[in-house]
Amino acid sequence: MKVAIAILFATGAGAHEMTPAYPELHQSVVAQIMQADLSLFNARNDVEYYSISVLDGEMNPIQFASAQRVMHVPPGSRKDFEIYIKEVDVNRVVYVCTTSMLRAGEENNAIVSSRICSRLDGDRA
Amino acid sequence: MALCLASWASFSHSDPYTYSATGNAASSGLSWDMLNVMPDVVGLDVTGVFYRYTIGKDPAADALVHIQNENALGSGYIFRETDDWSGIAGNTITKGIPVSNIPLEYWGIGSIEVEGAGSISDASVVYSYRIDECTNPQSNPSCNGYVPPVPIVTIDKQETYDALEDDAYRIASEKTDQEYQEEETAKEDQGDDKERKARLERGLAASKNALALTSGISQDAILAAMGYTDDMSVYYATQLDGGAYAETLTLVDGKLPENQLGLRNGLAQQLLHEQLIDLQYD
Amino acid sequence: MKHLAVAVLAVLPHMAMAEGVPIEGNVQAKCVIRTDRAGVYGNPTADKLSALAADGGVTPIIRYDVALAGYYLARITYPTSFSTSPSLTDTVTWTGGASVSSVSAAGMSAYDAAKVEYDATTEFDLTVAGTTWFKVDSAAEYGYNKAFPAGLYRAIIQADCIAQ
Repeated sequence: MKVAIAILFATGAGAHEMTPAYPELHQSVVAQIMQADLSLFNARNDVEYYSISVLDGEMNPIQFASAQRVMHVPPGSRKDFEIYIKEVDVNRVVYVCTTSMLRAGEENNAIVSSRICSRLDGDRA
Repeated sequence: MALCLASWASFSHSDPYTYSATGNAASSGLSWDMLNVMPDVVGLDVTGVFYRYTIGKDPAADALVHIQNENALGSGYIFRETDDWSGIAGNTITKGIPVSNIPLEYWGIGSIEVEGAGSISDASVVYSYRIDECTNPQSNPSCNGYVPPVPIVTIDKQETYDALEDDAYRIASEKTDQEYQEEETAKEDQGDDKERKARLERGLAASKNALALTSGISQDAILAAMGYTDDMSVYYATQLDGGAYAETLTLVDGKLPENQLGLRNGLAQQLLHEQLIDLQYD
Repeated sequence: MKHLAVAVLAVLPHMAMAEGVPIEGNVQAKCVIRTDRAGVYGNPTADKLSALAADGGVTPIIRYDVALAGYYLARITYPTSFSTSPSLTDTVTWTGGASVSSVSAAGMSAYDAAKVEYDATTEFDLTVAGTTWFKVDSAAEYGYNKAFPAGLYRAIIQADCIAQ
């Protein structure tokens, strides 16, 4: 019991974090392409790869570009990344998400796949 | 580089604190004495309180749960955290509250108190603390004021051997007949020697006094010679060649020209001056 | 010499000035998902795999940390298929759910009453800042009283944190 309480202020052994919660879309260097900047922190010891996805309000995928669709983020490290979407899709885009990718054959019996989504459509609902 | 190294301050200080945490203070009940929870050491400060409990209650009922410690040196509480469960279902709560290094002597009886309708189970309260090892400087050689202890040296009583007490020496040092005879002869000579020494001493004393007398006279003569002053009037009568120092720098035409470069500034100041003067008159 | 004196006088006021160096920061909305305890399936009967402690399993615990209240939704989906398993010839019936296991603020206890469940997903509105631990129940039954073939079985819980 003491150990469980003592870790309240300690860094979690398996954490997935993405900021900001509300990234701003801004004009990229390419005409008619918008860009958003995000940062992902991986404190999960069991996961090293995260996939990026851009979704609409119904959680349907929207076409986007990024340096990597699947990022390698070693445990305990932070990675900044950008996503690029077409200007015509700006009104449809709602979420940009990062999802932990579990290696086949290495999962525990029942493991947790984490996904954190930030909102791109401006003000909070 | 040498200048940088010379000016670089070396901050080599070790942390004098030891950090740790207690066991579950609420293991025996919802009230506990801090003396039974904390270690019995000096220089102990509490740095945080961590607690966990499960409350069972009617979701519609009101309940407040207080995790608290009385103020042992005053009235009221030195620590009190309240969880409001009013109108919501019971659950398990885990919480940690940092505390700003409050010394142990302030912490009185601790308790978990329920105000309203609800019951507490599986309660666990843990205190984190730090101990200042240098409260007693002698506890750690790295503390300020540490005095290295002087080792106690015990000297065992040694038996010494005195060779002069040895029988062999005593026998060897006993006087023989010849030595007795020589002793008697020496005693007779000694009487003559004593008289001779006394005469010598008297003679030397006389000569020593004579020298003292004469040196005193010669010293007086020296002092008198040093103190002798000649006629000083010559010094008072000395005349110095004086005169006057004529001014060498002269203004040829008697006119100090205006600074051409400062004309504008001078004119502005003049104008301002005239304005100020005019202000006095309507 | 005069120039040097003027230069020194010009520098002295700046040398005497001590500027404070501010440290700035801001708290922004942030959600952190941690796996506090990965689950283990127990095999209480030949046709059942369950993560409940009563069935010999280990219930997974997922921890959500939110910095600001009301900015995120927690969505937890219990498994509906095995990610790894021997070949199965019959259907597998999945059951499960998510509920609040422990909280860091009393107000979070209301999450269970306000949760929304649909399909295999349970959604919680994180209206209180702090840490919430969710436990996920998961069980799988094979066919009708049919024994699971021997082998390794794995399933994945999906934990989402969606900005509102």
